[in-house]
Amino acid sequence: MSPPSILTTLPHLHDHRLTQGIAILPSGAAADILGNRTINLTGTAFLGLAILAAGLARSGAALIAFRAAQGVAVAMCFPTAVGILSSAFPSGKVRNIAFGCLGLGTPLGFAAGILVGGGFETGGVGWRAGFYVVAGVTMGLFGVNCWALPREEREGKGMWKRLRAEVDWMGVCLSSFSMALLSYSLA
Amino acid sequence: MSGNPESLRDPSRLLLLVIALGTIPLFVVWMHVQAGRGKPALIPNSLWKNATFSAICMMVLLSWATLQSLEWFISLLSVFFPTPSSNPKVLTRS
Repeated sequence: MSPPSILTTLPHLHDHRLTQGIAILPSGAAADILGNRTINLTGTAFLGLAILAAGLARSGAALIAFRAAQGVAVAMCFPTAVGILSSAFPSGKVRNIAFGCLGLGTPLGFAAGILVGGGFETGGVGWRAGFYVVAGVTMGLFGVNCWALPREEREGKGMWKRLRAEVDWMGVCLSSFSMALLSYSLA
Repeated sequence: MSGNPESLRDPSRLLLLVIALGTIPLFVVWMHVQAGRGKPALIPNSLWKNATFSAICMMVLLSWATLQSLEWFISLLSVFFPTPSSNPKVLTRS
């Protein structure tokens, strides 16, 4: 397999957006059943591992695949974070500030990533260092999440049965099929 | 297709696009069926009757569409309008 080059990976720059859009509906439905904290921790751990794997990727196809896996992981983290915030704060000014901080993360991370990534590239360290640093930060935040997120009471038995019965899997299949096929045929 | 719109005349590509567009009303019908049977529906059709929700969804859709497409277009401007300083020699480094 060829090492990742910009000409092969450029068409697949936004694949993680597609997988995020596909995964967000079933992960929200699963979080209703399994609890916000569980899905958030799963998503954060999966995100850290996927970023590390992307940094270690030896071929362009592997890099694209792990970027797509990151999209799935983000789809698990983000709606559950919104749910945890809305249950932790009553409606009012503090909750609005909390949601504002949540939305701050994306553009701040994007801008910081562009600056630091450019610094890594011109400093000769290479693009993999950016992935490794972010993977380390994500796993650290996973530890913080384990400690900080409030536990919620839920009945532990019958989870798989409820997951199978209470999530609309045919709707998940239809929506993911249509989104993936539409973006593939239009791009 | 966005790279080469004439490729849509190719029947296999056209079929793929038609199938993709056809699953969208199929999804709406399935939500109607699931709601009628009392089974869980992923995005129940009654949700769209809430004007606030629909308006916010449309705003988010349009704003993200413009942001993402402009981001892509602006990053490729140095290819569309090359100047001596924007010479893409950096693209050949692997």
